Amino acid sequence: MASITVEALTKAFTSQVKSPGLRGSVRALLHPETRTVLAVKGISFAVDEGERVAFIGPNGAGKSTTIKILTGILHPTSGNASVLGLVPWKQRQQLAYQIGAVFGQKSQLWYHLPPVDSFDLLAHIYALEPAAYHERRAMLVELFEIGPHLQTPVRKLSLGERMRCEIAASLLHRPRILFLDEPTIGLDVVVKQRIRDLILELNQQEGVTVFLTSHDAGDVEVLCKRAMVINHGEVIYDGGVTELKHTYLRTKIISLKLAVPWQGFDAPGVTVLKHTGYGVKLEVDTTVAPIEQVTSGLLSRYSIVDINIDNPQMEAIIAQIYNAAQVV
Amino acid sequence: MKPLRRCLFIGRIAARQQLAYRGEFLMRAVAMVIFMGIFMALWSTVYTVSGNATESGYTLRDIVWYLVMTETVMMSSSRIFLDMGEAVRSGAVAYTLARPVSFPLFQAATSLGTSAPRFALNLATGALVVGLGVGFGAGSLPGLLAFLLLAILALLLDALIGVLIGLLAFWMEETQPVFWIYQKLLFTVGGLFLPLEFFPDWLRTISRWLPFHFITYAPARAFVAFAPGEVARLALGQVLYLAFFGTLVALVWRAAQRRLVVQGG
Repeated sequence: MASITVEALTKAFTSQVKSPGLRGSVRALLHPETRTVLAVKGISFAVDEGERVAFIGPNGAGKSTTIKILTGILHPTSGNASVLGLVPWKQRQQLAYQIGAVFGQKSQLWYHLPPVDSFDLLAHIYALEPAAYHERRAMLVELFEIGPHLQTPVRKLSLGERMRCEIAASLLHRPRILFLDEPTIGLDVVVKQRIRDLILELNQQEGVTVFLTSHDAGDVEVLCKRAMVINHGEVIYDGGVTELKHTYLRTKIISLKLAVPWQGFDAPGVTVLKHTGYGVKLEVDTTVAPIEQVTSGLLSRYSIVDINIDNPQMEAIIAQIYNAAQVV
Repeated sequence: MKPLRRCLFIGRIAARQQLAYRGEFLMRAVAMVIFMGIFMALWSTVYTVSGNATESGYTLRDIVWYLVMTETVMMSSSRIFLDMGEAVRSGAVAYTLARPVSFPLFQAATSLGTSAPRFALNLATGALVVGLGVGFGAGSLPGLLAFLLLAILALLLDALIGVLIGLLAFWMEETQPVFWIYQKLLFTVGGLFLPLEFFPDWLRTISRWLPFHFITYAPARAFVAFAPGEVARLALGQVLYLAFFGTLVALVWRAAQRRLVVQGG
């Protein structure tokens, strides 16, 4: 069953244009000039219940705008969307009971108070039964290991501790869809992994649909099965994360350990990344040189002790997509 | 009444946040002491120069107690529009908007919750200082009760106007100038420093039709010159203006939702 459906969704923003300098500012005051920017250009997609989807794209691609429309915060300029059968911007409050959102760069916890106060407030706002709330909170506190931080004022928590509390806060009312807008931004590697594990666990245990935007390739690779790439307000890829790699993967990395010293290997589409005596790392452009052709060439020329063929990191793939999109 | 209980809890959290820093909170008491000290000295001089009882019917003690009551309300105002503007600028407004609760109502409840502990502190400190300075004899028990009732309505009215100014943040980068205008109107036609009885007739007539004196003048007047008929008239005016500003907030909010831009991220 589809939990999110989006059809030809468009959002235009109007912003003021100011010429530089004081004269420009004065002129803008008298005759404001405006410019319309299309942040989202007629995108369409559907997400099934329980899916984990990554929404990726460079800064300003329209990711956050889409999330804000789907959570009912922004009104679209045109197009349709349905989230759990509701129209977000028309039935915002009704929808709010069933979805949770985490905005990595913003905070929902009261800064000067301990997280438990914010939790209690959310329990009231979502009208949770006291017994159910306490049970849910105990479960999340244990899962996110935030017991020791519950009574500490938020301002005294580290970013990692705070983010775990933020996500737990968004889950108190058992949302059926979790929107995560860059949930791991600014966190260290260990905390990032913990947060990914926790989200994965919730998805598997409770069937929560996960809709994620992130610049972190790890988030996408570990958390999501499906990825949508958005750029300049348009979806340019929608498919599996593994297929994403294959589609955009034009290079492979060959690492060799040789029985004889390296003497070079000339072939179109093959670049030597580095070599140290008996070890060598090559990058192969598979559109120019098929991988089997290169390996057989290497095998016929060298006596090889060990060979490894790897895909480039997800990071590199995403960078490649962004770059390609910018050229277009 | 689920929405009401919800609002009360929002208010309670806002009040707790106010009390989070004892030092900062107590500094408000110090400010009140300084303010009242200055005004007592000022009014004593005025009354010595111009004779004790003026045509207005206020004695020196009355006028000082009047002032402590207007200041108690004024200095308890939450300035919620500052928080709202900040939330709009930073984009944190996204969280509040993603909740199953009316955004203006949430802000109004936060505003009142912020005002409540300040109000108690200001009233206690102000009354103590002024009582020691000019004597405790002013007002009466019914006057005090009427003051409390009208002060609560006044803070409600101030919260709604604060939210209204805050909502302007969806159109304007900076809402402070609008607040300054509002504040200056409270100072003058609102009768913060000078009761309406001191005004020339034409100005008093205008002031009585404007909302501002319902916030500052009304509660203080009820305390120093309690008269059931006048209290009822003032309370009615407050309720009518509450309905007016409530409607206005709802309308402005509806328009604001359409032009909302969430910054950042």
